[in-house]
Amino acid sequence: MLIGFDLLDRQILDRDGEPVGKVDDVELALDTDGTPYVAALLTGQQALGDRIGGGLGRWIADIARRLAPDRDRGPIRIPYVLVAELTSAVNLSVRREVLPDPPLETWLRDHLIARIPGATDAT
Amino acid sequence: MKVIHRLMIAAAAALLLWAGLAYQVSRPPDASGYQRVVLQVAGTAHDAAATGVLVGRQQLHRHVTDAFATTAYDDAMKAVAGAEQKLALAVAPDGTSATLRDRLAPLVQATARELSDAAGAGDDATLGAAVAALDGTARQLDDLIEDNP
Amino acid sequence: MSASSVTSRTEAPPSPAGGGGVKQVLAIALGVLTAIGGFVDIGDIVANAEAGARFGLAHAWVLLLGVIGICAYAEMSGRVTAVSGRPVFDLVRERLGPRVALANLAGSLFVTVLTLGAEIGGVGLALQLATSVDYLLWVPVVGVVLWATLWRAKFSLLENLFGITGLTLVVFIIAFFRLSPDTGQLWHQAAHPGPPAGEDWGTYWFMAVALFASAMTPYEVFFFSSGGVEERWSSKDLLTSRVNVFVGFPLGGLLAFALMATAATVFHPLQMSVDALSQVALPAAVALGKLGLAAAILGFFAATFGAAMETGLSSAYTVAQYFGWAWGKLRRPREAARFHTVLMVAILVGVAVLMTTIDPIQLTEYTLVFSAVALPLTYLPILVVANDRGYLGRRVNGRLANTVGLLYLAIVLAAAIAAIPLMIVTRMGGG
Repeated sequence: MLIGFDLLDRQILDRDGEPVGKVDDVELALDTDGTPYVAALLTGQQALGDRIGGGLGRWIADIARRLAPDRDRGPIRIPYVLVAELTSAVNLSVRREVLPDPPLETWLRDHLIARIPGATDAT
Repeated sequence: MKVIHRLMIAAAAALLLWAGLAYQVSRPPDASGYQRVVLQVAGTAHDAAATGVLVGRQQLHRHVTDAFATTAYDDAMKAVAGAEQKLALAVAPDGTSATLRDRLAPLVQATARELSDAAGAGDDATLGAAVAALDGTARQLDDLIEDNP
Repeated sequence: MSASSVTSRTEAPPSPAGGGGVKQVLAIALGVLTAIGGFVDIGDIVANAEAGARFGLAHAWVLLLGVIGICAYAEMSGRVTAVSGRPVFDLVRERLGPRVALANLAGSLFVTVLTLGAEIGGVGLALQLATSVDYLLWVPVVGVVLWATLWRAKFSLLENLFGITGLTLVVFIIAFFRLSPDTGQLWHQAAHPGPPAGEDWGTYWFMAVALFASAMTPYEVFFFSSGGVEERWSSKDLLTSRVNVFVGFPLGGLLAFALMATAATVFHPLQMSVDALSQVALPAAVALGKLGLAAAILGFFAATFGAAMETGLSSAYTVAQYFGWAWGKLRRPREAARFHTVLMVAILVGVAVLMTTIDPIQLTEYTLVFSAVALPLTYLPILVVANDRGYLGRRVNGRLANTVGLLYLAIVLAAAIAAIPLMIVTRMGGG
């Protein structure tokens, strides 16, 4: 597997096919004999901003950090053991509810969308 | 290169562009520039008059609704008003240009007047007269455009 | 144009053996009808009528070129979506990386939101033709109705409704024959591309670029592939997608052509140009009276409102798909808060642009120029992905699709490079 080609920037889906985010970055670790492996997927605008870099990237990451419940929380981290299958998307073996909530989604839902009548109706 | 240098170059480029644009917009028009304005104004007035003729004729045939006719005349009158303003703002650089303007200006005014006659016409006779007048004006505008290629 | 409804092929449930064949045929027919009616949007209306009035049929070949191009690329993006289950913009980011894709997103979003503004303005103008109430008073109303529609309503139903109502534009085909046009003259114009007396090559090519962009507007492939994902297309749906593209789009292109041909018949002999929607509707009134006029206005309304829904959704799709957010018109808004926020902001921006009192027809003209510039951003990644075995396996582009795709990439690049210089040299085609 090529990390840059087969993993980075792919869509992450939970076990029901619901979108979780993109693989915005990966966390590498070394095993006992020194070969690197992917320890976790990082997702969310914090990870994305850091990866894009430059002024724009800092700005994106900064907004994400401000919205996060805890400023030092860091990007959302999904341990690689939760990955069930790699297809045209990254499929997880868990439901998205067990993962940390994306801060922007939570904020917009609580402050804007959920306050408008009909927000919970299926169309 | 430092960020500040890049910013300065970008700012200088933007300033130059702006200055060029300002010069382009504000410099007095030469004869050919004025001629272009005249032709544009004449074209707009011609199109409005021709539209008025088409709409008026369809109105006489009971082919259009009142709401549509009102809107169509409005659109045409708006276009003519814009053209009139454009002509008034441009300064004729020489005698030939002034002659041309003196030929065009009454035609543009006539278009505006006749369009408003057609839009306000209460009966077919008035409307028919306005349409005939617009037709004549459209022809004269056409001649003016043909004379000044 | 608005690719509508290649996606709208009705959610035909797997029916019990026996009635399945008929039902499937009906579903395909409905999809095709919707695709035809949904093809035309404000860009097509304006570009075709303007070209027809000023240049006769001298631009007919450009429309044909555009329709073939959109067929080729819509087929590719439909195939990519059906086989990989991912919308096109997902793959844009995967293949171009986060930085280039972000630039791509910015360009596409700018054009799509401007187009949304133009479509809302078109709806306002159509309502003004019907009521004589100024379009500016309609614009905020249209914005609210549009948002409420996308918030609550059953989208596929509305999509079919507007697509099929858009079919009333057929009135321009009937009008064309009733006007007893000088076919010899029209044929001569079509066969001899180039500017007629009184026009120059600069404006001729400027119009050509605008017309080409109107047929190939970028938002439609995003909309098309996102719809496919939501309806969970699989390889089995390839046939439906292709029928809709290869039958629906050319027939929709015929409606656009009728707009050009009627303008060429009524306005071109008078040597006048067209710059208001009221003028575009006139040929229908001349040929068919009040009924024809009513059909034309209804057609304009349906076409622009349908396209406004699609451009609004497309703006939100591209942003959500770049960041990996939950998106879709089938989700409850609460489950896709970021998606619905972007949608709301896009509509607000579209309405705000119009409230500057910019003439919607002029806005459409600018939109077409910027669309032309943004075309390669959309079509290059599609061509790349359609050749990627990692996603498509044995369903990658064949030799024909690649030849056509590469040819169009060259055309699209040429149009993109030429668009802005032509706009400046011809002063927006004003000469």
